Amino acid sequence: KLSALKAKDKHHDDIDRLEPMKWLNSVLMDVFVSKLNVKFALPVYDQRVAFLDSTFTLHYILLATKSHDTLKNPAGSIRSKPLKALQHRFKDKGITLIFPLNVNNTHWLVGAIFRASSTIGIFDSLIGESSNQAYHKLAYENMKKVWKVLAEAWFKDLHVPDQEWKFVVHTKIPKQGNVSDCGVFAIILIKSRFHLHIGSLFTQKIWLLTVSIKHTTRSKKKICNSYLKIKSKTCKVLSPAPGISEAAVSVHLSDVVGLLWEMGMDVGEEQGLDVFISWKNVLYLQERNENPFRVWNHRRRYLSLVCEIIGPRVVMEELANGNLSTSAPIDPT
Amino acid sequence: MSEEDQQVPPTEEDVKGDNTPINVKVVSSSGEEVFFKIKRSTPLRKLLGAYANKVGKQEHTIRFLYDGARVAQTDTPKSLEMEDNDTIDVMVEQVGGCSP
Repeated sequence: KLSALKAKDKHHDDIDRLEPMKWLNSVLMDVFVSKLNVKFALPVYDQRVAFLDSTFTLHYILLATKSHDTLKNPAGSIRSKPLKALQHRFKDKGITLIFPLNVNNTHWLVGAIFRASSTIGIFDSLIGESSNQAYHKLAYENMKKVWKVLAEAWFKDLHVPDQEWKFVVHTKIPKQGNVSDCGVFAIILIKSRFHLHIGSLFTQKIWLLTVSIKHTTRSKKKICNSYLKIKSKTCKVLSPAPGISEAAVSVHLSDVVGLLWEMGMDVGEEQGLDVFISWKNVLYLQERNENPFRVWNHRRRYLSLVCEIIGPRVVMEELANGNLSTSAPIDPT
Repeated sequence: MSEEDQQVPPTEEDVKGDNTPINVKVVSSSGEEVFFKIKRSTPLRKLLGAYANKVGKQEHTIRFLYDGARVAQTDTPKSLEMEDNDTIDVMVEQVGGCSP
């Protein structure tokens, strides 16, 4: 897949960065983030989660090269386009904002503001080193400031006291265990964890993305049954839409909660989970007799997962159009 | 910090209308500022070309941001409703893989 991509577009070292042991860059992170933004702008997802891109976080969250006042006009209204696009979603005040954060051009981690639970969270795949605390704290302080700007602009009529935030550095998350994969882990963390806070529709389920339609519904169910130890009656296989070679298997969270614990994910404190695993990987692992959820430590799995999520065609199109980092969420209305 | 006025060469695309030139500041990742004077109807890709030339980089390696949003090839100061003395940010590539 990678070699096909590279043959198409030799000039972009962005694609080279998907190779094992290479560090991910902001272009790749932002492609991913913009894809999620499009997805979560759909009404079906309740529009309660939004993602800011790596340039926004560079300017306002971690390096904070710009004053937070530049987010607004002198009159107090929001000037920053990525934030402006969030205004209509802000009304119910239950929004979740997700930030991919870069430290010193060496490390990726994830910050998040969960308005519904008044929590600001840090998800760091390198957690455990005491040197991390300084930038966790810095990110927390700056996320608070960004929120304050937003609250002042959009909750003007209401009496908004200074928000009390809980600051949580999450510890029970997958760790990278090497010196090259934090970008991939950041993507996985964004992907797997933040769905938890967006409402009930897609929670309580795991979706196994399929890339092959060669397997019948029955054989897919059989694999789920024998391999993932999921009861086939709780396993629903969705048919691929016309013209789309992807289909999905959804299973109930309660059936795989043990596996998730093995992955180091603390499901109990959350309300649900939405994980995407490539069907092809499941089949591959089945042949190798490995547990698909155990391979999360292997970069190749992560990277193929990233490719699946971003979609090579999309990457190519975006590269060709010079559109690699639209940060503003697209509003379908 | 380099501060100098650069004139983007006018072309046949600079058509009539409210076309008074405005001053635009392009700020790099390291905070260096380059000032340009540009007509409101001139596509900002010309500004990008002039800036790339100025800093000695290839055009396709540089991306512009205005108010946090990516500037498209066809955008003009008019289409973005830019005002005199507005700032354009140069997008920075960030990488990461291990501990800070």
